[in-house]
Order: sequence, then C-alpha cells, then structure tokens
Amino acid sequence: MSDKKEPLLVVKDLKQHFPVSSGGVFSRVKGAIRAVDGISFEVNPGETLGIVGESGCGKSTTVRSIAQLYRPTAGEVIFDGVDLCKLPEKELVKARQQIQMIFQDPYASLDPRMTVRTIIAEPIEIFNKRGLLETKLTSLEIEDQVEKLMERVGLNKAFKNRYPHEFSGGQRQRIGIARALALNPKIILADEPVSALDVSIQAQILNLLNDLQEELGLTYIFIAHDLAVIQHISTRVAVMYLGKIVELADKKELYDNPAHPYTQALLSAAPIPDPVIEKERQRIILTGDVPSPDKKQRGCYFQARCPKRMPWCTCHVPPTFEISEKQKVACWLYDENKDYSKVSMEEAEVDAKSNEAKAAADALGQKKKSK
Amino acid sequence: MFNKKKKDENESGAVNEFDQVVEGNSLTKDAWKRLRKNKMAVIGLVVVCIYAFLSAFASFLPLYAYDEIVLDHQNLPPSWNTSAGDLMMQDKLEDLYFTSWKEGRLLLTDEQDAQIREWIEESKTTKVWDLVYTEGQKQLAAGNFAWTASEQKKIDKLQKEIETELFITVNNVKVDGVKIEKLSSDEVAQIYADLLGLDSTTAILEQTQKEMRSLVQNDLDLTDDQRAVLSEEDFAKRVDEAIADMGEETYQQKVVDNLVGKVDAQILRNVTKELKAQNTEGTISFPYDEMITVDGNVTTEVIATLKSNRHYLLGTDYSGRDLLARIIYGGQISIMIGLVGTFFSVFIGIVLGALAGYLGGRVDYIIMRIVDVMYGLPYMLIVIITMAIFGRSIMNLFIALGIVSWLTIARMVRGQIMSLKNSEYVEAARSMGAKTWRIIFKHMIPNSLSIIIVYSTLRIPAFIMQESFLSFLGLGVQAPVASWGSLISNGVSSMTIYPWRLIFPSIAMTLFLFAMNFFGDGLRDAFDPQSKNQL
Repeated sequence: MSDKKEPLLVVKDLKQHFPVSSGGVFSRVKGAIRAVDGISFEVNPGETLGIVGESGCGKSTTVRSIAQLYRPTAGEVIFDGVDLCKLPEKELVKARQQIQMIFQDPYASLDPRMTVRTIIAEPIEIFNKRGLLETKLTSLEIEDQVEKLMERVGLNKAFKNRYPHEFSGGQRQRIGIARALALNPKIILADEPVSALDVSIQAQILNLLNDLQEELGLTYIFIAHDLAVIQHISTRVAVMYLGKIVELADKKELYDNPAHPYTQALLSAAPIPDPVIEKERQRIILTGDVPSPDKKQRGCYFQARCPKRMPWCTCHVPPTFEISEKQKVACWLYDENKDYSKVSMEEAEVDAKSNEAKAAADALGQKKKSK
Repeated sequence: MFNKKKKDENESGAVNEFDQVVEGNSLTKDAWKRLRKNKMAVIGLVVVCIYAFLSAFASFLPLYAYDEIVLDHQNLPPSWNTSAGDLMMQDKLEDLYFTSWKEGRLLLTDEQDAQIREWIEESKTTKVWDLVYTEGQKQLAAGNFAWTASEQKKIDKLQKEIETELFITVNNVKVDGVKIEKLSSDEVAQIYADLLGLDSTTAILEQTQKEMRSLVQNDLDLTDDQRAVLSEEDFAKRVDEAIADMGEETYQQKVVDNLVGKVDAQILRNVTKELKAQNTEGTISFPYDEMITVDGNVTTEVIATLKSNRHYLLGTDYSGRDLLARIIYGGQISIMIGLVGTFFSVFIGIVLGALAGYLGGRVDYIIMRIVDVMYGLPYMLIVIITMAIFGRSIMNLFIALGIVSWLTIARMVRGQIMSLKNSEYVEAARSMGAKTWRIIFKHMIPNSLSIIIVYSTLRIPAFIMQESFLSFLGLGVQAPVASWGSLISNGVSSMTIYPWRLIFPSIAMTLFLFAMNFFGDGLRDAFDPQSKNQL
C-alpha cells in the first residue's frame, strides 16, 4: 500500500545534535550529544507509525525535531513537498497548523492558570489573530468550536470553565487531544501520550485516538515504550536505539519475525499475559549499558551489547538492508552480498582504516572544490 | 463547585444536566480560600488594611497638623484626659518643687531624701519629679509648704498664659457673599484700605506692586554671580520681561492673592484683639466657631480654641508637634516608600529576569554577572553614595533603594522563567505557533506571579526597615516631614526622659511589620499547592 500513495512526511538523514559548551561569554563548543544521529523514514497518509525504544534513545527528540521545536542540525523534514528545516519562522507557522503534538505528561502540558476553554481555544485564537484561518472567526464561533471539540473527545462541555488541576489524568489527556485537533491538522505527533496513564485509561485514550483517525483521516506518529501499546495502534513500527533506527517494518512482520538482534531482545523482554508460556520462554538478556551519546560511534551502534557481534561490526556502521518490501534492518547479518562472520578482526580493521582514509580524502577534496 | 444559578447569556453551555452552572476553581481562588483559613494571615491583612486606610485618609482625620510647632507644648507626655494646659502646669510645678527641695524648703522624710539621691545618681529623673510633685501637692494642701513670692508670680504668669493663649484661624472671607479671591485687585485693595482706615488705595497698590516685583526678581533664573553684576535697570528690564511672559491674568491673580493674604492677616489681628478682650471679660466659651461680620459687608468664619485645651493622646515631640499626627503621617511616607520601592524593584527585576531567563546565552550571562557584581557591593554604601550625589529627597530615596534591590527578584524570576521555558505547556504553545511575547505574557508571567506576589509582600517591610535605618542615620526624609524611622531616631536621643517619643513610633512600626510579614507568610503558604493546609 505504501507504493501507491505519495508519502505525507519524509524524513531524510535527520540529525539533532545538542552542543555541549564550556559556558561563559566566550563559550566554546566542547562536544555534542547525538540525540538523533541520522534517521530516515516515510509516513504515508492515514497510517500510524509507531516509534519504540528504551529511554534516551531519541524518540521524543525525533518528533520534536519534526515539529521544529528544535531546529535540526542536519537532514530534511519534507512535509507536503516542503522542507520544514529550511523555512523561516514566519512561513513555518502555516505548516504548524498541519502538524500538531500531543504530549506525554498531561499534568505538565496544560497551563495550570488557564481554563479548559482557553487552553483548547488557544491555537484557534493564535491563528485567527494572525489571519491564517480560511475565514476570520468571531468569539462565539470559537466558543462553538471549543464545545464541539470537547464533545468529540468525550468531555462534558459543562466543564469548560474549569481548570486542569480539577481533572483526572485521562481527562487531561483528552483536553490535550482536543487542543491538538483544534486546527484540523493532517498529522499528529503523539509523544508517549499514554505512558503517564493507568492501563484502563490507556485503552480509552487509544480507542479514542483510533476513532478519531477513522473519522478524520488523521496520520499519527506515535511514540511509546510499551510494545503492547505500539502493537495495538501502529501500522508500521520503527525501533530506535541510540539515535538510530535499527529496524523499520510492518507491525505483523516485526512482531512475528523480528530481524535485528536488538528488536529480538526488546520483544523477548515484553511480558506475555500467560503464566505457562511466560515460564517456559527463553529471554535474551543484554549485558552492559547503553553507551553515552556524546561520542561518535565507530562501528555498529549496538555492537557493544550485541549477542551476535562479529569483528566486522566493531568498525563498520551498518547501512539499512531491505530484507523484504515491508522490513528494513540496519545490521550486517542481513547483507546478502557477503558473509561477514568469517572476517577476522585484523582484516576488518584494515578495511575500516582504508575506508576512513578514503572518506577523509573525499571530505578534503570537497572542501577544496567548495573553495 | 456547583452553584445554583440561572443560565447566563455569555456562559451558555457551561451548565450541566441539572441546569447548574459549573464554575472553574482557579489556583488563585484556591489560594484565597487557603489564605482565609490562616488566622494569623487574616489578622495581618486586617491590620495592614487599617494602616493603609489611616494613612490614605490621614488628611480627613480629626488630627492636629503634623508640622504645627507649638513651642509651649514641648515634650508633653501622652494622656487621655488631661489637657495640655494642665500638663504644662504640672511640669512647671514639678520643676519648682524640685528646686525648693534642693533649697531645703520642701521637707521630706530621710528615707525619701535618700531615695531621691539614689534616683539622681541613676538619672531616673522622671521618678524624682513624680515623687516631689505628689509630696509637694500634699504638703501644699495641708499648709506645711508655701510658695515664695517669685515662685507664685511664675505660677500665676503661666496660669494666665494657659487661660488666654488662643489659636485663631480665619477662613472663608466673603464680600457680599462672594469669595474675596474672586474680586479684582482694586476691590480687594479698597477693602484693605477700609480695614486700615486709609482714604486711598494708591499707597497699598504701590506697595503690592513693589513686593511682586521683588518676588519675581528673586525667582529669576540667574546665578549669584550674574546677580552681582547686573545693574538696577537691567533687573527692572528683566523683571518686566518675566511679568510679560507670565501674562496679564496670571499676574493679576498673583497680585490679588498677595492682597488677600494681607487682608486675612489684618482681619486676624483685629479678631484676635477682640477675642482676647472677650476672653478676659469671660464672655466667650471655647471652642468658638462662628461667622462674624468684620467691616460693613465683609464676613468671615472664625475658629478659635484655647491652646491649653488641646489633648495629645500620644504626647508631643521636642518642638511641640502632635506625636499621633506625626506617626500617622510618618506611616504615610514609610508605607509609600515600601510600596513604591517594591514596585520599582519588582518592575526592574521582572523585566531583566525574564529577559535573562528567556533569551539565555550571552544576554543571560551579562545580566547575571551585573547582578553578581552588585551583590558583592555593600548595598547600604551604594544607597548612601547615591543619596549624597543626588541630594536628599524622598524621590531620590525611592530611586536609590530601587537601584539596589532588584537583584534578588531578577534572579528569582530568571530561575522561574528558565524552568518554565522547558515545560511542556510552553512547548505546546510554541508548537502551535505562539509568538515569544505571547508565551512570556500569557504563560510564563502568570505562572511566576505567585512567587512575585509573595516576594513583594515580604519585601515591603524590608524597604520600610531600610528607610528607617537611613532616616536613623540622618539620610532619610527631612523635617518637618516625618517617617517612622526619623521619629524613632528622634525619640532615641531622649529615651530616658521622654520614653513615649520612642515607644509609640516603634510600636506603630513593629505592628505593621509583623502584620505584613504574617500576611506575606500566609500568602506564600496559600500559593504553595504542596502546603499542609490543603482544602
């Protein structure tokens, strides 16, 4: 199905590095935290792309970079044929109407000093004031829209003069969803919208999001660290590790037949609600910690913890291999051209060094050219 | 939360199934509820309100003028029912009894003599006076003691003074029911001439003209050196120019004012003579307040009181000014300094703190280093230097205190803004395309407001203390204007003899500071959602 439609959002080699500086007036940049380090994917209209990964792997940074809350260090975010990264702030506002966010913490994402009415009306009012809506709305029309939105997300419109702290977590998240819907966006970036909620409430919110998608034809990028949630809502799933996408596949493919060693480990960590199977099941337990994202990685990002590591992996960053039309993996195990398991450490090092020298020469040549 | 109210037009929709209006419970409302549960804070608020009311409406209260010097009434002690005259007399008698005791005419028991000597050693003069006065009065009544002729003369003289000295004010001088200020200069001059018994007004008008010219000449914008060089003619020329600049109408009005002042003074003189005569005859009772006809068609309101009839509830100070009035008017100044100083410092603090916090980077670094450097300097020194450079006035005092006191609030606001900058609701606002100013004013400032309010209320007493300290050093407000600090500083100098001059201003100030601090503490608790007195 992905071939037939023009993708709604294309992310190409997106990098988001946060500089670490020494502080002071004449601060020097000492290094960078590579929160997102070169990821590429496409999102088709009407689908839900789930992004999953452990804490600190760059999930949230990815959606914030797409929403241009941070200006990406490098790469492109093409929405409706326009590269958002290169747009000036004034024109970006128009794109913001189409891209809205739902935040993780329903307690922190609503201004405690505003009533529900004001919170939901805020995006409409901002765009109305700037004259970016098709027709200028009167305050009564805005009022009307707010009420409709509240009913649409399952909130009693009688509560519109209340303040966020008077609501439960699930209700607050509904307010957040209503706010995201206020401008009729095409795509909604949901940053762990259910992580802070009870399981029963999670189901309600997920069903609400599903219903809204069917009714309004929305597209979601949905972040979660709960594999069950992702399985429930996604069409396709991207697995992230240390700022890279290690595997991107259709939901069924990924859950039935995980290819990347990290995905396998991740899935094996998810509990299965059947005590018999759970008891017999063999778990893959990873050793070591996630490396710090402030260093440039020489080899595969996962190699330090990988149970299937080969000498080749320590000095070669894997490209994305397409094992089927619906599944892409970044792992040397799936390179059809060569079997790397027999390459010794020395050979790998020699190859890596020559590659690095070549890359350096290329970079130098490019510099000269540009001069 | 559910109020049984009928559906309102503009609140349509905010009504639940049972037709009850659903109202939001804002954080501010919550805070107010919590504050009302805090008894000390409410008492503090009430006290602060009373103070604010008293100082705001001081000029409408039945007080003596705070800067009215009555030299006879120096250092009178506080009293509820004894009039100033009686106090003066008691004061005199104490003095006389003491002299006669020293001369050996007032005989006391050996025990009392020893006691008095001991008190004198310890310089407890008030106790000595009290003792000799009570003993003396007893002996005088019993006939064991008599005044000498010269002493009796002094007492009689004082008694006469007390009985005859009057306060007379002349208001509302009217001619045929028209206020005298509305008349032309010729008419007023005529009235003045009639009062003096002169035939023509020429001399009067000439005199006034001369006075006006010399007034204008004094007001000319010239340095002393220039004045020394200028000749008579030059002066005359310049004065003519100045008068021409003023315009005919303004000049005439000034002439009328000058003449009216003279008429008032003359009427006062005449009335005083008459009232004194009546007083000696005993045909008048005080307080006296009547419209009288002065001369033909000129009428005026005369208010007269006996000086010695005055009551000073809190006593008087070293130049006979009413301490109660001075404390209330002093409070006006002190509270104003607290408010204006806080406003200055909070305003500067919010602007700079918000800038530093939101923009970050180099701006933040520079502003914060300035704050650090200013913190490092002894702030009282800066205030004193500023006052020395720009001169001593209330306005300069505000500025000097404002300059040094925005530091803490700037740091606080910066910290608050920095933490709010990364909060999710600000990110949400940014993701929906809100501009920077909207984020600062709609999201950040309202959310920092509670700490700013709390800080400000706790800051007001600090300002009053600082002003008091400066006044104590002699750098604050200047006499006759009073502030609590200057009153206390004056009181300290004669603490042992006239303790009320220190005690009452101190109590007034302490009470206010306590109230303000309790109120501020209450506010802090009320605005803190984690506080224990939850609803």
